Amino acid sequence: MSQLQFDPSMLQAPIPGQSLTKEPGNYPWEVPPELSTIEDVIEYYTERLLDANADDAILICLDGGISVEKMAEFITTSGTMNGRHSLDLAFLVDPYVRELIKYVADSANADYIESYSDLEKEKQVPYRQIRSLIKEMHKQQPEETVENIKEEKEEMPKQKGLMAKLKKEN
Amino acid sequence: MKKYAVKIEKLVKEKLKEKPKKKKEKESKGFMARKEKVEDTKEFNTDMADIVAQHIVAIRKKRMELKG
Repeated sequence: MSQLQFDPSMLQAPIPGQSLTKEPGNYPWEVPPELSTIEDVIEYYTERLLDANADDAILICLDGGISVEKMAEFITTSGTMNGRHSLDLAFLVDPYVRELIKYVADSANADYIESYSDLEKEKQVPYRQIRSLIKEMHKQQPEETVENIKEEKEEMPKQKGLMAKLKKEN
Repeated sequence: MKKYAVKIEKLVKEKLKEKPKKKKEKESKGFMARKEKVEDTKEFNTDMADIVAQHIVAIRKKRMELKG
């Protein structure tokens, strides 16, 4: 009988309830958020994102190909992780942060991707267009009929020498 | 999330279409003139989507100015 082998990595997992052994309030998410109203959060992000230092970082990320949608998500989620505001407010303020990022990009004349899903939709060529394009291609090229292929084969030069293929006689 | 974004976008478009209302200033003189009411309480907007939309409109207007 084969014996079940014990996986030592199982011992490295936290013991249930281990997080409760530490003193509460050590992490930002264990403390009440600093900002509790939507107006405060909007003001906070306006100050942060229109700052000259943040401006550069945003433009670098946009040039790197990060979409506005994802960047806004990162910023608002990190705000929650750092204990600035609750997750509810992060979701509520997300469209405003997107707008701010677009404003920064526009002020620097930078191109940006709004969202990856929209980009994929734009790239997708409709089937109707592909169909008409293939039809046009077929019209331009002469049709390869069986007769044309036979003529091409006959035109091929005859092989000579020792290694030449022998012709099969029907 | 997507529904919320769509809702906000709809609100923003509505607000952008709205024309600014001009307040009519009535001059009232004389002893029969009505006294101006002093408002003790401010009306707070409790609709969070509306607040966010208002702020987005302000930024979008700035963007439109940038684009000309």
